[in-house]
Amino acid sequence: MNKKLITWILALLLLVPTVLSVGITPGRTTIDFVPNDHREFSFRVINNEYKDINVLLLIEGELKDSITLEEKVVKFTSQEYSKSFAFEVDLPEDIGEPGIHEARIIAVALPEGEEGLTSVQAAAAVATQLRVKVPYPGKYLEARLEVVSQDDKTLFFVAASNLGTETINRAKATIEVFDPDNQKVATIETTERSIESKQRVDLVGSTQALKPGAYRAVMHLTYDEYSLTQEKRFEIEGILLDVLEVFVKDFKLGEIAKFNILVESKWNELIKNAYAQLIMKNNEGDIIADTKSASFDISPSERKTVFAYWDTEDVEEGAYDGKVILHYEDRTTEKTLRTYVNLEGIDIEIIGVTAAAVKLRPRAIDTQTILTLLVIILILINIGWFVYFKRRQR
Amino acid sequence: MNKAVLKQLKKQLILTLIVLTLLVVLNFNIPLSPSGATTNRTILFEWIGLANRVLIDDNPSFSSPIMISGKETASLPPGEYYWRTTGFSAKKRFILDSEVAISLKKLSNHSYNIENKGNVNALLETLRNKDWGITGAAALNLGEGLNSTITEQSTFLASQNE
Repeated sequence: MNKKLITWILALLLLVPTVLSVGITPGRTTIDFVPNDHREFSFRVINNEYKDINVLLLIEGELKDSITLEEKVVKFTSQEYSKSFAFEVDLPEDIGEPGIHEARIIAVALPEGEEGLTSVQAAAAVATQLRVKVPYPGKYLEARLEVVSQDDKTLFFVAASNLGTETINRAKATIEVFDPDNQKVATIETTERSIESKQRVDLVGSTQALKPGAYRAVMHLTYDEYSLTQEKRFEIEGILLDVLEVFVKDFKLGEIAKFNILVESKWNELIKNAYAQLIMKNNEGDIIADTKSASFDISPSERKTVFAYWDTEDVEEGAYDGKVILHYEDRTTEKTLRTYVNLEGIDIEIIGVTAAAVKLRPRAIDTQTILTLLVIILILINIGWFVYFKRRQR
Repeated sequence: MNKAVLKQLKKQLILTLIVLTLLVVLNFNIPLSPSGATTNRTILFEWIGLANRVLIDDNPSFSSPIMISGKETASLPPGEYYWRTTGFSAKKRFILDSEVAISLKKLSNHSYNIENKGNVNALLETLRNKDWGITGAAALNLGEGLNSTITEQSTFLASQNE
């Protein structure tokens, strides 16, 4: 870096206020290497805190001599949020090894007009990166596996980028999916595609929906005479723990009610240190009880009854709303309760579990189906008319 | 086929075309926003039409789309995206630009709190001003902050790290 610019930073740093912010966008621009190519790009410096600041623009990195930027120091007033800058890139004839080559434009935020001299000061700076990709000789494939849960399927996408100089004629992946016990639960074959140099394609495969849980995918990707293997851990989200039933036995009003909470694990790994929280409310919505069960561990697919207690000493007969919240692994599952307390029992209904509380909505017919039906009807009407007129003519 | 039948067929054809056009127009969805460039990673999709789901892909051929309900927002990493609705729909392109931003708060004479205010994970380098030498580096993920102590004039430099 040039000495003049360092002197600038040192001089202006003596004026640093207590909070200093700066931003830059985009954070990165990536291009393919073309010998002697000339291109123009832009970036924006952001004055996030709307302060009077000076921004010093510096260029550094392996490709710094390929970049031309006019501005060196830019002033922002407290009314200015952002400013755009253009820069030119002149790539050389030869850039060197295949792979990524980089230059950075750095925006150093330096405050204006504030005093407060101290011995040690710091400046805030952000960089926008220019990355130039040099293709590898021959065939070279880079791949990234993505897993998406959708309706009744789990989809596997392999984003395959040909970073080599030659076309890949056949690329295809086989993905094996393992559960936490290392049992293979699915083998997925993706589509087969050809990939031209610098092109990216998606190889797609699917399997029936995987149950919620943690999995490990091993991807074997073959492209022409080469292959690569990658592993990825992923989770299928869903309810991990569910409340199946809540009931109270042997109860008399005024005593402590023992709530039996039947919990089921739908996760495919042991869940440790879970607990249930029981909250009861009166008619005004005020919380009249907030208790917790003992913590418990629960194995995959296990059903377990846990207990929470409610002291009903000052409770009158009647209806009370409440909820059970299961806490586990930084997550929660919540069920709303409708309870009716009488002298010798508590009737509990879980909203969302009993048929009375929840009605399944019939599947809506989408506009596509309606349109198709209308077109079919229209065609039939037309045929009918045609036949009718033909007969009348005879 | 006599003239009367031909005339009748012509009428039928015109009527059919009108009805089909109306049906297509009614079922056609016009994506509105997002389009162009944004730095907001949480995106709400807006369109005109009766569709209720949105397909988003970083590939214009929609070979690996994710589908979300129209009422949901999508949280996407920076990149170039294409989106359309289900049913008949035009395709729209938008760019989610990465933004690297930090906020530097002075805690004491030698100590600073640095917070990632951008929309990407960042690599934070501490540079000595006198020779621009690196004296420290740390990952500063989205929304995270860290405290750092310096002993000489320095610059905290953040760059995209994902």
